[in-house]
Amino acid sequence: VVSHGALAQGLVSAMEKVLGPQRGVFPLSNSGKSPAALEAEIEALVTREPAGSDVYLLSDVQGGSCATTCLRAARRVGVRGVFYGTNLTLLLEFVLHRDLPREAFFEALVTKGRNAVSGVLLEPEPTTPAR
Amino acid sequence: VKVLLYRVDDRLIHGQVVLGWGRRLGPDRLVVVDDRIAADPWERELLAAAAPPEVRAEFLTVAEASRALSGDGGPGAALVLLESPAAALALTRAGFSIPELNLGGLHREEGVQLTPYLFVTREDAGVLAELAAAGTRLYALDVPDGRRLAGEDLLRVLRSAFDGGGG
Repeated sequence: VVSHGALAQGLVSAMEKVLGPQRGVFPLSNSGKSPAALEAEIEALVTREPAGSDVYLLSDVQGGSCATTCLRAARRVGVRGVFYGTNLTLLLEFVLHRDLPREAFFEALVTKGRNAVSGVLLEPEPTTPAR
Repeated sequence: VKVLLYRVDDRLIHGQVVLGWGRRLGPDRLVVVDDRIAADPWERELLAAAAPPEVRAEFLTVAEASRALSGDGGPGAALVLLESPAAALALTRAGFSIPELNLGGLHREEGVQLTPYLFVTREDAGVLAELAAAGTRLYALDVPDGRRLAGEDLLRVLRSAFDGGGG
């Protein structure tokens, strides 16, 4: 999970609060790092996994420097996919659906992550006039 | 070409540039000046994908940029993006003098940290001093509403960072 600031660390921490400690999920921040340094960290983590492992990169905003750096790293080392716009739902689904076939896995994560963004508009409470 | 901002940023086209500066200044073009990227179709496509659809991303060599910025350079308003101070100096040496240069993002593992987003090596400091001597006004600022470090204050910080064997 690769993000600006502390987002990745926060997402992984929140995910583990829900599902418990997980193998193979690592947060990385770009804070204070050049794109080349962040890319080297990603590559080091990816190449540490056993040969033949399916590795995915979950980045934050599409078009941001983290996503761009993920794509550069993915081109150099074996990565099965890069996600953008990672939210807590997408990360939870990632952990829960790791056994799905690749296409179904990708589709499930993107759909659930996208559908998780919603909300409700509320009318303001009428205020009591001041005495 | 009307240039709204000259910026040194090792991430080139990314959120701060597109959202922070782009929404504030409203450019039509993002012009990346870099010999290596101009010659690399994959890297050009990658960075162009980070630009919003209504803003055109362009990739020029230093020589092309010097000509375009000195002459007409086409319509529209541009943000000019450079990966390092050395790239700005290359543009100056190619014959185009940058009037004002925003230092918006420079991350060096071996450098001295001046601001949360600005790390410089002794070599960077020398290049920035050379740019200042050539008449380029320098200021450090990551996002439009951030805290600006400019002019003599910036040069003093740069000098003091490398006094006494630091860096």
